Amino acid sequence: MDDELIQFKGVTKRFGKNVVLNSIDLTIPEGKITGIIGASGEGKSTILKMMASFYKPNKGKIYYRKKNILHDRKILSKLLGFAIEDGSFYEKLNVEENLFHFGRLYNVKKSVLKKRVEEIISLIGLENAKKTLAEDLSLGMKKRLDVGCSLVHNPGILILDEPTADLDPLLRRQMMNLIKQINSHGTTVILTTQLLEEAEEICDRVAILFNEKIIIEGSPLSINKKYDSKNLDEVFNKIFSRKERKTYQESSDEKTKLNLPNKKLELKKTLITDKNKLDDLIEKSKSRDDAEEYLEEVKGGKNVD
Amino acid sequence: MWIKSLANIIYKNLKVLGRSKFSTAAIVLVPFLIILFTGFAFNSSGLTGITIGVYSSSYSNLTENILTGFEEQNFAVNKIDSLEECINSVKDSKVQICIIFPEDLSEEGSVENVVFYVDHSRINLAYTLIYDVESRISVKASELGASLAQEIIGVLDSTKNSLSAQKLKIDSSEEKLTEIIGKTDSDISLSDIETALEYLNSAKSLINDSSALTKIENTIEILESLNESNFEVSENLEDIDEKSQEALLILSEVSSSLNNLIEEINDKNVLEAENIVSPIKTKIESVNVNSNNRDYFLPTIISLLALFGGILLSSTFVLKERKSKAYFRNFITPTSEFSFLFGNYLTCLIILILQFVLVFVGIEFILKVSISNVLGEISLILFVALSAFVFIGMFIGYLFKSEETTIFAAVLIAALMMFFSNTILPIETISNNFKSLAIFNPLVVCDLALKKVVLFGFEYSSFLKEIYILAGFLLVFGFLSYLGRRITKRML
Repeated sequence: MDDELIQFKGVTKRFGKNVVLNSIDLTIPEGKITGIIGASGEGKSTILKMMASFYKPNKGKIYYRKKNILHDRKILSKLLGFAIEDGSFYEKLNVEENLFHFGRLYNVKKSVLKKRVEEIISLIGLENAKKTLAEDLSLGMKKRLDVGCSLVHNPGILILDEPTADLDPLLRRQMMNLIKQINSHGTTVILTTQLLEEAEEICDRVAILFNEKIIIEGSPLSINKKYDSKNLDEVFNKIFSRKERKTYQESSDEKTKLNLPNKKLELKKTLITDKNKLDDLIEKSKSRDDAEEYLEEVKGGKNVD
Repeated sequence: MWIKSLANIIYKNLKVLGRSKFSTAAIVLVPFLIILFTGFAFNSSGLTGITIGVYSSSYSNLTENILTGFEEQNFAVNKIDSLEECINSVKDSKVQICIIFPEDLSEEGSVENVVFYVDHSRINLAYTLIYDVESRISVKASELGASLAQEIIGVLDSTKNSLSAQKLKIDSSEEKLTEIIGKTDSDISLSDIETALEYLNSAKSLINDSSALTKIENTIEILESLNESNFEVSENLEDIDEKSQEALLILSEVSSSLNNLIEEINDKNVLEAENIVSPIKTKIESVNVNSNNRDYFLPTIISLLALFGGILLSSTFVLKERKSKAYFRNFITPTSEFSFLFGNYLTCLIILILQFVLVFVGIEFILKVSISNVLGEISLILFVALSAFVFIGMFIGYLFKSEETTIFAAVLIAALMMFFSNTILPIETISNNFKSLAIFNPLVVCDLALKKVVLFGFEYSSFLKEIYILAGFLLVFGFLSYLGRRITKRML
């Protein structure tokens, strides 16, 4: 297997003045599941969208099998399947129609496509809902449909942006099984997640994105070993305790900002394990005079309102 | 409390709107620009850039004079070789009005009318133009009428003066004749008296009777006395003769003078009151045969449907596609930009064609207006026009991000095209600078081509120019849409 299927070399991406990625290097091996882990807003999705040429880097190069994809978007487009967090399909088309539509856009022959659509419907477990409009599907079904749409042309690389976000534990498990199943057919999977446990379980390789850079990449075991940790959760604690980071919360609320000198690392950790909860807590803390104590209590696991 | 909430909601709404700077600028600036454009464009009085087609088998001095008057009024005058060509030029919109001048048009008027041929399908222009041109001819006619009346008044005046003088002469002749009559009361003949005297003197020598002699002598005395009187009569007769000569001379003068007057009056050919009041008669004819108001407006209505349908449908269609959840997946497929662009264009076109099939069914079978004989020509024009409008709409769709701004911009641009067309006011009322742009307005071009076909039954070759213009719009906006798509494809 070619270990260097996709390579990022010194890639920088800015949105206006905001630097999201700063000269990152990343290698995606073929046939593996690679997880890009980082906090919300760190630029995980940006990395994925650059692979799909949706965004162009301001600096640096991206290679697919040593060919610069920036010169020819089509190199990867046929080989790439991409499922984004919010799903990307037509709400007014049913499951089958969506799969057919995108299959045709990938120039899959009609005879092949028919069979392929049936296989995918079976793979994503939507046999009973194949005539249901996408807008009428449940959240989990929509996620699966999106993965299905990404697979319709039988891509060699499947990119999944937060595939398990917003799913309940059961659906999350189903999705992880689906990803493993897809990978077992030889498809290279690249995914992003904020759930360390999930990443550790499913990914052959992990890249940790922090402070606009990939700070480490490798197998979860090798990373754990390097940081002398039992799991990625511990690795993160160590990373955060070693490094100073700019204030995460860009709120003008001084309380939120200033109360995070040391707490910010904890917040960061919380963010990675449960982003929604964190946002909620930060929002609540803004209206409190004892914001720092409040967050301390949260960290301590107290049931606070 | 609720006022606070209300203020908060308004503040939030404005803030959200303000975040889309381009959209806000469009919402605020576009109406301002429209007012500015229309204000400048229609800041003229009367009609501009009018070309008058004229035909006459022979251009009289008066006709040339009238044409010069038109040119002085900034109307372009185009002499056309035949009546038919002149009428076709109106149908073709090469000229706005065709005027046929009779060959014998002169200051004294003409038996035939000056005929105006106008396109009544451009009703808002036709009547303005007829009024304008006719009023200018009326001015000339009034001048001629006044001149003719002045001449007649001159003749009357000189007749009056002459007759007064003649009357004096006649009076004088009357006096003289009266005198003559007075002097010719005596009917005595002088020669007879003299003969009688001779006889009596001869007889006196023969008569011895004294009493008889006395009587003869008395008679001779009387006769001599009479003879003396006769001298006076003779003198009077000479006087009479002289006066008669004078009277004759006066009468001869009077006769001659009256002859002059008669000649002068005879010289005036205009003896009909109508020719004096209106020396140039006009008549208005329509180039549209067997058409009514509904037929006149049919091409305009079809053009408007194509404009609004094309622009609104395609702009919202593009925006809907861009805002669709599937946009990202579409983007990453190996499908070319051109395929997406062309696919969207064809989709809009198919929907619009379906619309128009229904419209034509309604026109043919419900309104009972026969268009089946020109369906091929109409289809070609509409295909090109709809394509142009669809690409204009698609360009708008790619230009704006938000739905409200896109719809707002699409409606405003369609409305702007309508303002600068013949729909509300004729484009001839637009000032020259704007008019030179307005004639290339796709709505105007489409309307003109459809009129040629629907109202006048012209063939393909007659609306090729319009097809080329619309095709130009199609290509330009097709390319702009392609660019718009490429530039904005990553801007979600």
